[in-house]
Parts: sequence; structure tokens; C-alpha cells
Amino acid sequence: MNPAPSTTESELILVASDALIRGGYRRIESRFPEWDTPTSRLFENEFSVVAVAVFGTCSDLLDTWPSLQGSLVELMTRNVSQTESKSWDGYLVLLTPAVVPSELVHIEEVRYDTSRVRKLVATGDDLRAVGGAERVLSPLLPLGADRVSDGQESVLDMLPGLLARAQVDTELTKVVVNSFLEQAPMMDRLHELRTKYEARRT
Amino acid sequence: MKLVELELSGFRGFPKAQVFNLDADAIVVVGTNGNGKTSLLDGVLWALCGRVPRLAGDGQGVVSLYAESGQARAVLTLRDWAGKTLRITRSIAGDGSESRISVQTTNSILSGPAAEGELIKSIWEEAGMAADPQAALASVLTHSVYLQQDTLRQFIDSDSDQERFNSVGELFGSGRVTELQVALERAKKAWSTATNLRASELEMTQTTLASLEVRLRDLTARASSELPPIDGAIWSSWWQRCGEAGVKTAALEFASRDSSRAIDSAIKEIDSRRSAAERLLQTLHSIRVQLAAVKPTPPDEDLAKLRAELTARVDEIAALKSQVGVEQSRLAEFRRMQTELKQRDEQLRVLATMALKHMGEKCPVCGQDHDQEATIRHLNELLRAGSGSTTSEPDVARLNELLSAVAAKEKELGAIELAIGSAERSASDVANLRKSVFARLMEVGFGGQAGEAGLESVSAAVADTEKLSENLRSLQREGEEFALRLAQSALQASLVETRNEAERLRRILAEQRNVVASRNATGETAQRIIEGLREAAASVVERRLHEIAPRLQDIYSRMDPHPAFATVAFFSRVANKRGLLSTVVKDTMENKECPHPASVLSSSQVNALAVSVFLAFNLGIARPPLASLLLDDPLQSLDDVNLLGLVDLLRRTKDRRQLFVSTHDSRFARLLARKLRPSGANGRTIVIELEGWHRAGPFVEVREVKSDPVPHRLAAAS
Repeated sequence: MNPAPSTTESELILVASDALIRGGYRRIESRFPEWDTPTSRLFENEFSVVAVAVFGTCSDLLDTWPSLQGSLVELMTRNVSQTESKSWDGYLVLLTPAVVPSELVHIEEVRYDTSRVRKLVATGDDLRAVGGAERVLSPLLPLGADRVSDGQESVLDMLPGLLARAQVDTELTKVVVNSFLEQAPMMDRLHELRTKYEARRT
Repeated sequence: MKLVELELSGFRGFPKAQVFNLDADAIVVVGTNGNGKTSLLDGVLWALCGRVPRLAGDGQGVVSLYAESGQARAVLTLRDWAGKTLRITRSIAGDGSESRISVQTTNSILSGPAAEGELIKSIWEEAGMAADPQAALASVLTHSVYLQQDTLRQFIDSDSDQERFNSVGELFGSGRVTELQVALERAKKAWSTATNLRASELEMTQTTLASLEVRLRDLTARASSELPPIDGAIWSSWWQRCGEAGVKTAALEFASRDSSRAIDSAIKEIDSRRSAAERLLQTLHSIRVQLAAVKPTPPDEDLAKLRAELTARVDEIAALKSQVGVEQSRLAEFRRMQTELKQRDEQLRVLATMALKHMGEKCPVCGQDHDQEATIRHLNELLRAGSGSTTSEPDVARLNELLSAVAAKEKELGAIELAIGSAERSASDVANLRKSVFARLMEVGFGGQAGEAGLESVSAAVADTEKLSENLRSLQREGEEFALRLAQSALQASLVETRNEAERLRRILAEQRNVVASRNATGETAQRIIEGLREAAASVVERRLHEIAPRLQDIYSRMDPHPAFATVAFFSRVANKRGLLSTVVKDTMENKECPHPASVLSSSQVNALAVSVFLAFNLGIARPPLASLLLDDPLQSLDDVNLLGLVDLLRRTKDRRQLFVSTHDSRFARLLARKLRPSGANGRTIVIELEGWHRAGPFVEVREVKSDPVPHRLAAAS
């Protein structure tokens, strides 16, 4: 079930935390105080380190994200790896419920800045929709379950049911399908069955 | 099934044999362009379906120009989740002359069509129902398993809506529905043709029946008069009489099939005989009349008497004519003398006239003296009376009397001559008539009888012939009566036969009507099924697309290509009996959408969308041909942010699919290796490096990517 749209910073951090934990991440508490506040949290799984920060305004976000990125990179350098490739494991999630269209261009610039760690950025417009926070975090989450309900059923097996909607007797459809599969004369078989039905009716 | 091992030789960028161990969860292939990355991935596709659709030619295009064996060969080993392996060996000669395949399973080794069949059955049974299973498999592989750079964007911005629908239809198996529909349409067309033929036969039967009914009415009308049946005894008696009358036609029973013909023949013969008898009768009548007209020959004495009279008359006439001659001579002498006297008197008058004119006292001639008066008197007398000689008329009475006698005798002679001629002609006529009658008697067979005997014979013959003629006339009348009855009988038989035939045709017609109606009903049912199949094909696609839609949106969101058009959906519909499919991007905030993504997305964003659609198809198929995902340099033309999104997505995909990704960029190869590293001891990730291609192929180096010994570093640090 998708959570309701989040409108406050507290709600946002809670929703994001919940989504990440459900996605298999472990929250890192106490060890790194700057990432353990009401508006910032740190998560980890076997492949990634995810830092989530929530802001009251877009301006706060735009002003603060470089230092937060620096903090995350330093943390990873100290605790994870000093090699370049290891830094690819870091993600900085920047969220704000605020909507300021004039600053969207700058927000996009942050999103497209892949210089150190990947940034996932969302504002009120993205987060207001149902499931908005999860959608923003989706690159970090496992793939959802497939909904291929009848995937095991052959398409030709589905035909009698589908054609029944067009008032075609299922047995007539079956005889056509089977004739096709057996490369038998379809019309002859269909005729045979149909006349048999007709004889029964009369 | 997933890839386990691939051996290539003579195949595109791999002229020499090269074996690749692909038994890993993720395979990253790195190498600069032209070092064989695409050849490696193409090798997998070619081994599976014997073609690389994007390459031109009919297969031999995959053979390396540097292949020493002159052939391309690929050996691909697959393994399913239960550990069962499938080893596919495929080869083709450089000139395309020989293409071979063998498939080795746990239990058997198959080759040729059997191997193709086993391959299809093992990896994607659905294709087995397609008209061209290899083509169907190739289509599915290239749309959902093997992402090729060359065709990356084709599905989004090059294919038409119909091509897109057909591609997806093949992917979701609705291609089989379409094939079934086409096969049924073809069968229905043939069925309709056959039904039309039956309908034509029905029309012919109707026409024949109508004609038969007209004939039936006609026969019924003609057969209405009733005649008594033929009595067998009378029939036999008639034939016996015919025989007696000389008719040669052989008698038949009246119930016989040929009785009509026999009696017709007999009647003709009777008629012929009767005509002959009547002609004979006429001849006999004529002969009899002639016989009656023949008179006795005149007696010869009469003719002799006439001839004697004729001679006497001739003599008499001759005597008379002699007397006439004498008399005529006398009269002629008398007339001559009279003429001479007349001439002298005239001469004297001339002289008297001259003497009177020239008279003087002397004679003008002799000069002598004369009595002038006496001379003048004398001369005047001479002038008045001439010489004074007597001129009397001759006596012709005698001559006339003689001539009258001659004429009377000649008249008598003519009468006698006429009488002789008449008597001679009469005798000749009698002789000719006798001769003619004799000849005709001979003709009719009465010999030379003439006279009373002949007349009697002829009269008897006339009587016999009249009797015969009457008998034949009677036989003819009776025969015609028989013929009429026989004709009636035949008419009745024909009526019965026609009635039966009409009844039979009515039954056939009813049967044909039922058959045609029933076949038409089947045709209509087939048409309903065809319509249903059209909708079903669209329904199948729509249902599958509906199932895939959340997956596509999820993947598209992870790639995050566009700030506004953040939603993507499929839009399928049926128009003009053809399925159409568009990919639509939407800006849900502004409620805007675009069915032509290339018109609102950048090239990089379209690529990201194309990759999203491809991955959605791969992950959306419940039973893909391979549990693998082959991506040929998907990072090209992608922005960094999209690229990172794709790499994160691939990391998540690795849990569900064996990943086989190539890239030309070594930095991204390291990124991929890092992101796709194994999470524990059981997983395996390898990097295949292709470098320094030369005529024997590239240098190949394979290295293992290790998992992190301490996966949760921060937790460990805390």
C-alpha cells in the first residue's frame, strides 16, 4: 500500500526511512551524529550507503547539500573505502516538501550533478502524489513483484475464454485451436462439431 | 535457462576458436570498439536461432573473412534451474552452402530439423507453433533478451504503431493468435470457395428440376387420353398376318423394349408394300384399258383393191394428159400463124403511111408513073384493113374438156391415196398398241398373253392386287393403332420415370440446400471466431501490457530521464482490424501526454526510455527464452544520471536474470563490475576484456570480480 502524501519534514523522513528499511537497508544509528538527526539519517546495505536529508525549503536544500555531500564522502572514505570505485556506492537523498517553481532549475542541476555521489532530489511537487517518496527512492529499492498472473498459461489456451466474450462457444474455439496445433483441416473439424451441436439441438 | 559457455570460431570478430566461460551471474565485457564485443553477443543469438536479423544476407554474413576453416561455428551451452544442460552446435559454410545444427541434451544428440525442434521446445516452446519458429524466436530474443545498439531506439521512434504491436504480439504469444487467425481466414476462404461450388451445383439441380417439372407437366397433359392396353393375341395375329402379307420385319413381344421400333419398321414396310401394290393396280388398270382398246388388224384385200384403183387412175390420168398435150400443140401453132399475119398487116400500114406521105405523080421508089388516086385508095384501104387476112379465135373447148377430165381423175387418185394411207396407219397403230401392251404385260408378268385371255388374266390380277392392297391398308391402320398405344405406353413409362426423377432431384435439392446452409453457417461461425481472434490478439497484448505497465513505470522512474514526462504507459488499440501500439510519456502534474516520445525527449532520454521498455519486456515475460539479459553497450548516448540509474537497475535485475553487459568504456566497466559484484560466496561476476584485435581475433582476458569481505562497513565500524 502506498503511503499518503507527506507534507512535513518529519513525515518525509519517516516515510523515507520506512521505505528503505522495507527495501532491505539497515539504519546506522548513534555512530555518526551528523547523520542521526530528526532531518537526516544514514542507511546501509551490502552494496550501498544511503544518506537521507530533509529540508524545510528549497533554499535550505540548495544551500546545504554540498556540505552534506562532503560529509557523506568523507564518512565513506573513512569507513568504507578510499578507492574511487567505492564512492560509487554512496547515495545522497535530498527531500523537501516545499514547492518553489523558480528554484526547480537549480534542483535539477543538483540531480544531474554526478560528480561525487549520486543525488536523488525531490520537492513538494514530486512528493505530493501518492507514493511520491517511494518513487523518488525507487532506484535504491528492490524491483517490485511481478504481476504476471496467467503467465504460465499459453496464449492459445486463453482463447476459448477470450472468445466466449464474443459469444463463441468455448468448444468451437478449442476445436479450431487444436486443429491449428495439429495442422488438421480447421473448417472441417469446426463444421463437424457445429453440425453435431445443431443435431443435438434439433 | 542461462548461458554457461560459448565457443566461437570463424564467427565474425573471432576467426580463431575462442571459448568463453559464461557460467556467472553477471558478465561484463569490456573493450574498445571493434574488438569483438558485439560479435560475442551476436554469437549467442546466432547459436540460438541461426540468424542475426540486423545483418544482411542469408546467414553466411556471420562467417569471418579470416576463418581458416571457411566456416563459422558456435557452440553454446545452456543450463536450466534444475541443472539440465543443452549444448547447441551450429555451423555454416562461408558460401552458405552448408548450414548445420546439432543439439545435445542429457539423453540424446539430435541434428538438423530435429535439433531445431528440440531447441525450440527447450527454450521457447511458444515459437514451435509459429510458421517460422526460428524467426519467431529471433524476434523475441531481439525484443526482450538481447539489446543491440543498432536497434536500441527502433521500437520507440522508428517502428510504426503496427510494427510495434506485431513485435510485442510475438513477444507475448499473440503472434500465434494472429497466425491462427490468418490460417483460419485462409481455411475459411477455401471453405467459401468450396461452398460456392456446392451452391452452383444446387443452382444446377434447381435448373434441372425446373426443366424436369416443365417436362412432367407436358407429359401429364399428353398422357391424359386413355387407350386400351394391347391384347397380346391380337398383337401376335397382326404380326402373323404381316408375315403372310410378305412383311419381313421380325415380330417382337409388345412388352419388348424395341417393340416400338419393330412396329415402326413394320409399318414402313407395309406402307411401302401397299404403295407398290397400288402402283401395280394402277398399271393393271391401264393395261386392261389398253387391252380393251386393241382392234383387229384390217384385212389386206381392201388395201390391194385400193392400190389397183390407184394404178388405174394413174393410167387414165396419163392418157388424158397426152391428149391435152396434143391439143395444146395445135393451139400453139394456130396462135403462131395469127401472129405472123398481124405482123405483115402492120408492116403494110407503115408502108402505106409512108407512101401516102411521099406520094407524087411518080413513084418515089421506082420513078414510074402510076394512078395516083387508085394508089391512094389502095393505100387507104391498106391503112384501114391491113392485108385483109382473116383472124379468128382458136377452139379451146376440147382442151378445157380434157383438163377437166384430168382434174377429176386426179381428185379420185387423191382420195384413193388417202384411203390407202389411213388403212396403212390403222394397221400400224394396231400393231404398235399390240406391241406396247405386250411389253407391259411382260413387265407385270403376264407373258405374252393378249386378247381376251390377257384381259382375263389382267382382270384377275387386278382383283388380287386390290385385295392385297386392301389387306395392307388394313394392316397399316392396325399397326398404326398399335404404334399409338405403344407410344402412349412409353409416354406413361416416361411419365412415371420423370416423376421419380423429379422426386429424386427434389430430395437431392433439399439435401444440397441443407449442406450449403450448414456450410454457410459454419463459415459465419468461422468469421465470428476470426473477429474474436482479432480482438483476442489485442486483448492478449493489452492484458500483458497492463501487467507490465507497473514494471515499466518502475524501471522508467529508476532511470529518471525527464523532469516533467516522468510517467510512461503503453497505449494499444485495434484499428482497421490491425493492432496498434504506442509508447506514451505523460506529465501527470500538468496533465499532458505525448504518443511520440522522440518529439519531447532528448536523444539520451529516448535511449533511456528504449532501455526501460526493453527491460520491462524482459522482466515482464513469465517464461522468457533465456533467464539472461544481453545488453550490447547500453551506456552509449546516456547521460550520467541515466547511466547511474541504469547501473543501479541492473544491480537489482541481477537477482532475477543472468546479466551479460558489454561496454567500450573501461571506467564504466569498473563501475559495472563494482555494482554487479557478487554479494556472497555463491555468486559469480566476471569481466571479459577484449583487447588488441588482430586477424586471429582479440586477446581475451577474463577476471573474477570478488565480493566484499565485509559488506556492511558502516555497521561494522559502529
